[in-house]
Amino acid sequence: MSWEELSAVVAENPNDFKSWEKLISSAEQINGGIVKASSDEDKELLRILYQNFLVQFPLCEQYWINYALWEFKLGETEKAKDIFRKSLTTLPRSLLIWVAYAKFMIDVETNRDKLHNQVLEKGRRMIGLHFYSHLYYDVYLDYLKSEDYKRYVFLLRRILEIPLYHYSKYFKLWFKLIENSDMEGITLIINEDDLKSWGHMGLQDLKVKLRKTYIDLYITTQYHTFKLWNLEKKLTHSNYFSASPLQEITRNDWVSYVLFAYTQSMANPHTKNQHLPYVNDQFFLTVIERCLIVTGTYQDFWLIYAAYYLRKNMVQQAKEQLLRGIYLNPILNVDLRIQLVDLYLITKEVQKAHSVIVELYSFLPNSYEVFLKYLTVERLAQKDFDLLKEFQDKLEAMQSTEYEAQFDYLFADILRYDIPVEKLPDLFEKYDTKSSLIYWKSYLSLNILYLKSLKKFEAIKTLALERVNPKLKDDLEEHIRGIFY
Amino acid sequence: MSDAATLELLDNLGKRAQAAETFEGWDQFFEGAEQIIYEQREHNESISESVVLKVEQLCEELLTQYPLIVRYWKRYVAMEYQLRGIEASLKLLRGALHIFSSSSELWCDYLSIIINNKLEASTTIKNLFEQAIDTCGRQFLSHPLWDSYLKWLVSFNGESEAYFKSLLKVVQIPLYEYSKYHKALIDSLQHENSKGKVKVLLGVSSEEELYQTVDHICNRTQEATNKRWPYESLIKQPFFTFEEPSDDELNNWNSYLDFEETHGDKNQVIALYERCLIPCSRLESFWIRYTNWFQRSNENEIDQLMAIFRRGSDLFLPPDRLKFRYMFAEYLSKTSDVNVAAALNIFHTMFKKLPGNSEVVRYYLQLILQHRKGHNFISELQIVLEQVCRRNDNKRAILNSIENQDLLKLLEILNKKTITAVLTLLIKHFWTFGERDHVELPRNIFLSYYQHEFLRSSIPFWDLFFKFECIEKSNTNLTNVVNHVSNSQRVSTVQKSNILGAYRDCTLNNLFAEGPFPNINQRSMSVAMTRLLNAEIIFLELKAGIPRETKDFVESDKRLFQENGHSGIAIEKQPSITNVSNFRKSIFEESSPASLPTFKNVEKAAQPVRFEI
Repeated sequence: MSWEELSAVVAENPNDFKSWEKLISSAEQINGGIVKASSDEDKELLRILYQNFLVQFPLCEQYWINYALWEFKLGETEKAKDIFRKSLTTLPRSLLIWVAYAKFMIDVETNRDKLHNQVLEKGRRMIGLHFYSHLYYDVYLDYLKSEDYKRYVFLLRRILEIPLYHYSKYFKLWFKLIENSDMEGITLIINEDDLKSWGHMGLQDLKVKLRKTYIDLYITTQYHTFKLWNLEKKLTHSNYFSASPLQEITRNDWVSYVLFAYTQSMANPHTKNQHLPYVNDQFFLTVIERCLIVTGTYQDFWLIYAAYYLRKNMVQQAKEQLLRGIYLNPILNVDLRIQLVDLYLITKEVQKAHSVIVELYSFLPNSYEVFLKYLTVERLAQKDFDLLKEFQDKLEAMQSTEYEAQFDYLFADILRYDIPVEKLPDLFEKYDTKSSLIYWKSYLSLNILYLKSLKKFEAIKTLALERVNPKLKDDLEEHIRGIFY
Repeated sequence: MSDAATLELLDNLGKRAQAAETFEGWDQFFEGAEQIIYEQREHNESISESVVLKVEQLCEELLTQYPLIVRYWKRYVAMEYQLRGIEASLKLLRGALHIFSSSSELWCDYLSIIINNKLEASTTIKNLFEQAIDTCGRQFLSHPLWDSYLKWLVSFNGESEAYFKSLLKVVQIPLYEYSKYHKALIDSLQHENSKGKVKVLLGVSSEEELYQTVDHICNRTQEATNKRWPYESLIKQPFFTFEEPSDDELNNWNSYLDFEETHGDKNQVIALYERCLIPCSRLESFWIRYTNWFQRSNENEIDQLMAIFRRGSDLFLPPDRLKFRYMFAEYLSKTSDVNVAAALNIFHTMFKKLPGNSEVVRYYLQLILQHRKGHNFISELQIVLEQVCRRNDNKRAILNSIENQDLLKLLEILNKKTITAVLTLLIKHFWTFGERDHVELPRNIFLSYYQHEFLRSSIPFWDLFFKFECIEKSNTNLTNVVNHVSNSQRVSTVQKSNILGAYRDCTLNNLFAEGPFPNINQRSMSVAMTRLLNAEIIFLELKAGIPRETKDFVESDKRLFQENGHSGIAIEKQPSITNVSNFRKSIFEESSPASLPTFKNVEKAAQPVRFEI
């Protein structure tokens, strides 16, 4: 397909991932391939394509990296840095991007302080607990080995405590370091206080004792690595965003992993002396962000993310995560928006809740859940909102449509709103030819539990048993029984 | 082998078979027993009476529990023949047919033993055959039974009138081998003698009419058979198994029953129900369906209906299926006042089998309330409640103050689990029959009992309390209920999330509204916030394949708690570093090496990881 055809395809269907990929690679090849000397027009075209693509598929880590590196190749180092930084606001804990960013900055950043604190150390904090973060540590260690040997040893020592896929590689390095150290080298491995406390001993004895101590660390880290591996092994195939739908089983495996991290992070403070490297928030954040690169277009994981912040009483962050999720999810995934509305209500931001729900309702006027939430918010936003009328209108509008059965639940929910109950019998009576179970259940409840009229109840009961869908008659009888006994 | 050893072996096999509930386990038992009998015969030893009794006892036990497995009846009968001779084995078969009369295979066996050994007079045999045909003759695969009947009729009296009577009966039934009988009928019309008999039986005079009628019958039967074939061909498992039949199988039975109920005649429907209740004998829904249909279509045949009720509730349904038994009790009490006692008796049996089931008590109380309430029922019920919960010392005085005999019986069996039923019934009574503005009475009962230890884990109680306060709109109480439930260790996570979900809807819908729900107060604010998404998480956990059963839930809760170090529950000891580095501290701020690592439980590190999710 030609360039023009491809761009027509993606313009028509922006979700067509394959065509986007082809389009980008053909733009990269345009006029013999983009180079520094290419025309401004061609360069601009490539940029626009990348930008548009990344709006459509912001979870594609590799494309962020490629985009940044293109700018670098074209001589725009500052622009490249900007793109990296921007990608890290979208995907703050993407291992792939951090690795590429670190490599890139080691090459181009002349300000060492900046490189150390704003890149290398920041990256370590963000993805240093990632199970596959050896990719990052290798780059980092490599750099330190030649630039700052002392810190090289310090970093290596830190890594030993973390359960990683390649944990044993670092222990090998460490044991070799002990083995090959002279008296001066040893002072990078053990501090003065510890050395003193061990008393006077020869270099060889010291090495033997050090080795013994670190073997204990080795088996401890190994234990926790195995433990994580139980969860990790199911997900080895699922580390990157894919445009094709996620398999149910993979999704469940991610749920298990995320919930594991979740419970770890919620550990009772009294038992935090457990000192596991992953009993902390960083571990949960690492796992959930990593998971969201794969699963970001599904709402479940954003809900867990928001729940996590709610448990910590951090409502603002919960909202932010929901907003991020809303950006990535199709509008049919209504849970995120509804949840956000709930949060706005709790923090008394009725106007914000209102604008979210009104937009959602205009897209999905036939969704029951959305309608209910819409009512709740409308009523809070407008003082003289006539709730009952709204119910009536909706019931009328939904009659004899495919949504009628769904909206029969309004009869149950109407009782939960604080409409004066005396006003309700008329509304119910109007629909008494229905065969819907929920309608009759609610009608009966209204009379016996709200209006407390046994006489009326008995009359309606006879009617109900006559008119309810015969297949559901047993259920209705059971329900009636449950009211009294 | 000594008798004692034999007895022990048999006992073990029997116990294992009972516990296993698989065909393998049962096969092993029967093989073992047969082997013992065979070996002793081989050595010409007589089998001691104690061994014989043991074999009989174990077989009886197994087959009482699961009476619908033909092949084990057959093996038992064969053994009984070896042990006690033909009379005894025949008696046994008769017993089997009493419970499992819908097995045409057992009928065939029974009749062939009688015929081959000339044990009964021909009129008796004919009656037995008729009985067998009545119960099983309409089964799609009953041709062996029909074959042996027709064969016997011919051998006994040639192609007599009785023979043609039966032949004309079978040609009208949709059977798998229907064409065989059609052919037999048409063939017999070749002979003038037979033709005459058939003419008389069909009440036709001319030859033309005869052929027309026969044609008509055959075509009709063929059509009826074809209509049933789509269902019959899908029945993969017409026999009993220990596992529940598959969903496909059940759906097919249901649609087949739908078909027969609208197309077949009464006997055809009954025959199908009886067949269906072999593989589905332990499924309440089919028994309910059967009795419902029977009541609708056979109003006058009370005895037969009673028999179906009795069979379902006494023989086949597992003890914890309450609904069918309740239907039975209700039916009994409706028929006459005399039968109320019998109905209540059904519950007395259930009390013994399900001592901790509050649903049984609930059904029982309902029945009393509807049929033999007496004057002071409610106040006496309150005394009962008081007695069980507060353990009044003066028991005799209490007993004397209760006149209702049914309640006295109830008092004997009530325990900390079943008391819920009494309490909720009382509350519902005061709530639904009370005046509109008098909610204090039921509320006071809630308030005076909610802290009682018997009710801490009672789901019906807390559900009702929640619903009550939701409707009666006491915000403070509602919040307290929710807090109480969500902090309880004894309420399952699913139940908690149900109540929390309902609470969220209830409060958010009415947030800021004026009236009974004032602005959400500080306390419920924190509940709503911290628990808001609880329900979703539980759903995710369920989706993630964490077990659904309550008991497994406790297990998985424990696992999660162990992992997150929940206080009050034993923590799995894991190896850990006690001076782990500060992850957030920059390595460029460090000037000297970190301290040597120190550990806890490092000896556990060499053990395999126990954690699985």
